[in-house]
Amino acid sequence: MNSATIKHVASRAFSLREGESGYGVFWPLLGLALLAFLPFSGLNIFWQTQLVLMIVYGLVVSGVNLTFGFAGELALGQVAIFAVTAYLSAYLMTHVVDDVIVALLAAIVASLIIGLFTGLPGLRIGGWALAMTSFFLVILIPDVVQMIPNITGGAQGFDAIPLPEIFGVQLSVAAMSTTAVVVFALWYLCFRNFVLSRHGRALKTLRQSPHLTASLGISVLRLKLLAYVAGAIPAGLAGVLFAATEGYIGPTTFSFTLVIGMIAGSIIGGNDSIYGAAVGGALLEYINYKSAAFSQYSLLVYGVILVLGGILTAHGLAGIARGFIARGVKWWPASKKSAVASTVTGDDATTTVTPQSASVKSNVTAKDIDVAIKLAMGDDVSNVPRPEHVLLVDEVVKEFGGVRALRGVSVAAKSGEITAIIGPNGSGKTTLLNVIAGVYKPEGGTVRLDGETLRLGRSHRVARVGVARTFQTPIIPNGMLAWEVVAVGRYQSEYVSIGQTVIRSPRFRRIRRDDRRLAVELLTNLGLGDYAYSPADAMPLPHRRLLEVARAIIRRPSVALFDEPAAGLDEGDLVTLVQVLRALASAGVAVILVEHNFGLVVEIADVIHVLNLGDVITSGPPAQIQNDPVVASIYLGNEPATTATAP
Amino acid sequence: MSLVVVGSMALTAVSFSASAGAAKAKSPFNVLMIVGTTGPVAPPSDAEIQATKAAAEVINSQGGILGHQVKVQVQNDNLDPTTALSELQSAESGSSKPNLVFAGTTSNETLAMLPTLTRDQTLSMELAGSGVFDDPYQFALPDYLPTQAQAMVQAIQKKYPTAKKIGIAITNDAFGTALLDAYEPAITAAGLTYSVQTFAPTATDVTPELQALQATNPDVLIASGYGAIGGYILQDRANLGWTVPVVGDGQEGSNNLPALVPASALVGVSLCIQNVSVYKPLSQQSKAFNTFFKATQKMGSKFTQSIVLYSLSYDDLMLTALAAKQAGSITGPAIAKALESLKQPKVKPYVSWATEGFTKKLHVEQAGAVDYTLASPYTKLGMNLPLGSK
Amino acid sequence: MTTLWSGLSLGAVYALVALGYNVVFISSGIFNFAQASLLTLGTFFAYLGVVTLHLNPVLTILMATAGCLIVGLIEERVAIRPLSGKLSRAELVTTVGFAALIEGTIALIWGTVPLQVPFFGSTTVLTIFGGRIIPDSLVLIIFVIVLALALHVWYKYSLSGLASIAVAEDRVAAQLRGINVGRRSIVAFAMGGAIAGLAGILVAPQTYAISNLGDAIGLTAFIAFALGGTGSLLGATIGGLAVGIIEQEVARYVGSLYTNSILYVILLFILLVMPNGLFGRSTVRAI
Repeated sequence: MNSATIKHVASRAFSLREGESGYGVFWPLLGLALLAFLPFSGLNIFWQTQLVLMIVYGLVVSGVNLTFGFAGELALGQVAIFAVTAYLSAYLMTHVVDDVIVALLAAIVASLIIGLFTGLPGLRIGGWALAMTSFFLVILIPDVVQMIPNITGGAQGFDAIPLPEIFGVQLSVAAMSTTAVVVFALWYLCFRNFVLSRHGRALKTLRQSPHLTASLGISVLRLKLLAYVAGAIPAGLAGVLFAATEGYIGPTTFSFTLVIGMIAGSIIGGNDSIYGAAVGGALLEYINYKSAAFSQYSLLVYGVILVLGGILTAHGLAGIARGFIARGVKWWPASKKSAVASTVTGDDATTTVTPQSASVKSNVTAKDIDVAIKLAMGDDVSNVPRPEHVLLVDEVVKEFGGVRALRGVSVAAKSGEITAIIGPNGSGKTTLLNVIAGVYKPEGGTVRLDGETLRLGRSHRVARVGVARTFQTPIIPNGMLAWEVVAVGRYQSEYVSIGQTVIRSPRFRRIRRDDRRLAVELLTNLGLGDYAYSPADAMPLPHRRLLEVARAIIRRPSVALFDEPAAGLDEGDLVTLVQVLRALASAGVAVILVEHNFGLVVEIADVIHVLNLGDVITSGPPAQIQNDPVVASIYLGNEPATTATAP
Repeated sequence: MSLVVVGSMALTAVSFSASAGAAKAKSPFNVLMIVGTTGPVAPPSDAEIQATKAAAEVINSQGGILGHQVKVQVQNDNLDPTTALSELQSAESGSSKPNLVFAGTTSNETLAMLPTLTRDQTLSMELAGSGVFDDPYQFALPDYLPTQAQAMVQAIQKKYPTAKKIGIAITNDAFGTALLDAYEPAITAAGLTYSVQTFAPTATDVTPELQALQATNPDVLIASGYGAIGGYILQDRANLGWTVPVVGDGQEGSNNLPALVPASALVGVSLCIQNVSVYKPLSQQSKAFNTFFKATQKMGSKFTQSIVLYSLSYDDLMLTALAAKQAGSITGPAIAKALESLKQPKVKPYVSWATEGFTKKLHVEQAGAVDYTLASPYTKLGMNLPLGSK
Repeated sequence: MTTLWSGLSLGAVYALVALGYNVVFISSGIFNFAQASLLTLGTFFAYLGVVTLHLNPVLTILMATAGCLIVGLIEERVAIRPLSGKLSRAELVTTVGFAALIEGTIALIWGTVPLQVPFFGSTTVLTIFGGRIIPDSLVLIIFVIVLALALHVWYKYSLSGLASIAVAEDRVAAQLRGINVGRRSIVAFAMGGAIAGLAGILVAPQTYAISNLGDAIGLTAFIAFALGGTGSLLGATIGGLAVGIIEQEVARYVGSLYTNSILYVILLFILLVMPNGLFGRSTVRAI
């Protein structure tokens, strides 16, 4: 590590500007350090306990944020896990060994197991059903507690939980509060480092679309389980801190009100925010406590706060805060990273981005694109012979209910060629594309790449073997910058483990730099350089199409599937698209194009397959297809004899 | 020293300081009630609050506790143990520490607050039935559950001498569980057998549970549940056409049963309640009762709850004042010690006192069978009419 | 058999709430936590009409339906419409908040002591197929089934109903076809309220008018909703009745402590096998 690196790391750590990796870590840690000393400097026991309770809420809410906010999974069992580890640690500390480290470790193990166990149904169930089944776990807690009253204290509750020791030293309430702050700080670091990384981007991609995620070679199952488990751990830690500090837990402690409070904390704080979790949690804890003061009006007060809180905060308080900070940052002395100052969230109108023209910059030549793509594909510019790829689709049959979308389709695609698939609406083009991409498992037939049969129906496996694709409507995740969207393509191929991510190892840092460098380079060479640091979901359609293309390219695929990429592009953008497709083909990719734009297809395709009602009617080079009367009659509806040829 | 002498000395002290004119007012005797004033248990909590304030009025009009004016403060905790503890901590850290704490409506709240109360040596009274009777500074006023259960069993045996099996339909919350833990050994000790069905207090239909009990052919049914559930038990029994006689306990009796179920569902139903809850016109009641009744009425109470909820709360404060006078101090430990060996005065300021009072080992009133009676579910002014009347 | 009838009676209440959940969900994609509180409000309107004002049953029903319908509209305006377009699923929080508002207001006006509401018909217990049931519960069960069928017919054969389903399947496409999506949402919430009010006079004699009725019923009705399949009215009815039966049979033969756990396991099992519930349909999203 040379001095320049150290300087860079240090300046990042101290920074108050939201860089690619969020805000610097120094100031929050300083704040937490101060908070850790607070219990010993004059806080009375009420505030010491409130501090712990706020931390408890903040921990559980961060778990909800991870699973629900970042990954989009409506798995809301965190409070149930919180209750279980609270009882577990109460039991441990009372009957086994009164040590807080032991309890915390046991809680981590328990929450891993339970998180996994309760997450498994989520792989199959989704949406509201998952929300309900995970919610309902909390209702079971009083029942289960009363089924084993000897262990849990039954309906009376588990009382007289002693304050724990740490390494043999008895903790006072003040020391317990400090311990809670330390635990929270450690978790915050892990949470932050995990979420502000390619893993966080993968989760956001999952939130947007599991199909997209799988098409990038990422196992959706594994990522979902990761989200459930990661969201379970802070809830588990919270249980230990709660039981140790309160000294009493009972079946009425873990009520529906608590669950709603945690969820409200997540939504009101900002459910895709790290700091929002802490703020939202602390706020809801205090609201819960204070609303009792309104006595018979407390339900009304609580209801009003929930309704208003939910309405007023689209991205939660965090969104509002980001807006303020972004505005404030604008007035600071500009640095060379001024483009970085734009916010990550796309929905707030707080970005510093210049309005985008619909067209992509057109001063990028075909040669530039060609070079760019070869670089991206890992070539040097000299024309070294590339491995040849062959994709063979053999008699594929696909049915939906009673409808035969594909009736035995066979096509071939080769490296260096652009293979186009055309046909009228309903002919099965997109279905064929989806079969090749592995999204659908066909009723009959196979798809082979370089001799190996693809595992159709498991699109992430197909993607890993070297198939990349774009979507008919570009799927661009929310809350990411343009370069980040592209960089997700590298998540699987250049995988960094979670451990390395959390401790920010040298390998992680190197790959993080590469991610950004390669993505920005590619975008620049495609003419989108000015927008590399803009929120991707605010980009107009042509840019988003190109973004998808870039995302496919960065994966260095053997086969690239494009689903109607020309739709919605104007003349200038079409030129760029053509250049890109040609460059890809000449870089050795087998390009498969599903298109409606006949003119485009005729211009660039090497082979055209014409589909109609699930069958390949005819195949051949463009000249042949152009003059084929059968093709014309399919498109124009004329009798074959009366068709005129296109000029 | 006889109580009269002590009393007159106290009065002298008060009048002395009053006549001194410029003497500084003594700090108030702070009574803090941390109870749940929202939801279905709001009415009993309100009853406790009204009665406590009534007692404070009466005590203050007589010069306060050793010259300290009694101030009652109420904090709602939404029945949440965590909130209850936070509120207690806030009060103990504040400028006016409480001298007496009414700890919770349910035992969950009480148990959460207990360690802090004990550590701060704060005197506390509870009505929740936490089952803790050996804490140095906490005293429980609803009866020692084992003696309450014995009273119930003896009352049943008296009215239904041929009964061999007792069915119990009871809630499975903290209080219900504690009651059941007392009923079972009491029934067995009397040489009888029992069958039990429990249900959540929030259940809206207990027909299946009653059917399960019916299948065991009990001779008498104990019904125990507060709130809507108390009504459902009787209503569903009537709908089943089950004519087994029912004896409701204190929990069941706290409901205004005639307002919950039609008369047809009250046939064969009696309540086993404390003597103080049985109706007697005011002219036949003790002086203390009259004082209590009128003072509580002045607080705005309409006695919608069972009278015993009011009288126990009233007595809590009266006993505390009495013990403070006997101890000559208002500190928690001093009053606690005095309560353990309370000398009963000739003119009783409290409404009901059990046969056995607080002892050093058991900080709970231990009523005996003689303190209980079977009464009608029909009420007048919060008191149950004698059996057989309407 | 009596247990079965008691299960059907309880299940009818669950089914009512699940129907309300569905009606709102179909047309707006929103899960309305406050549905059970609306039913509670319906029971209080019934109390107001029958006991306080001594109105005849028809007037009471009209008043209750109108009252709850209006509250449903207020909820849509206050707790739902401001959220449109935002992705944060904040309706989880705002509908719970609104439920608290309803419950809190009820407690302020009527207190928290359970209030008896007599049934307008006979109260003599009937014996049907060897099981005992009170007439009110029987009428409630029949009412729920008829209501479900009526709603089903309405959704399938009336233009309004079809429009609502269209919104559920593809909001954007529905808008493009000229369907006023916002109005569908308003209609949905109004209907949810109306259902709750309509049933109030039948539910109240069975359960009392009590401010926290919604707490217990609402969560178990979840299970009915998920079990039957989100978006399916027949599913909600069958789901609700089934949940009621299972709950009471388990209470009869195993113990009431185990009802929730057993219901949960059953729900989980069914969802794992049929992720869209018994009667729900999955929409195959084109990509």
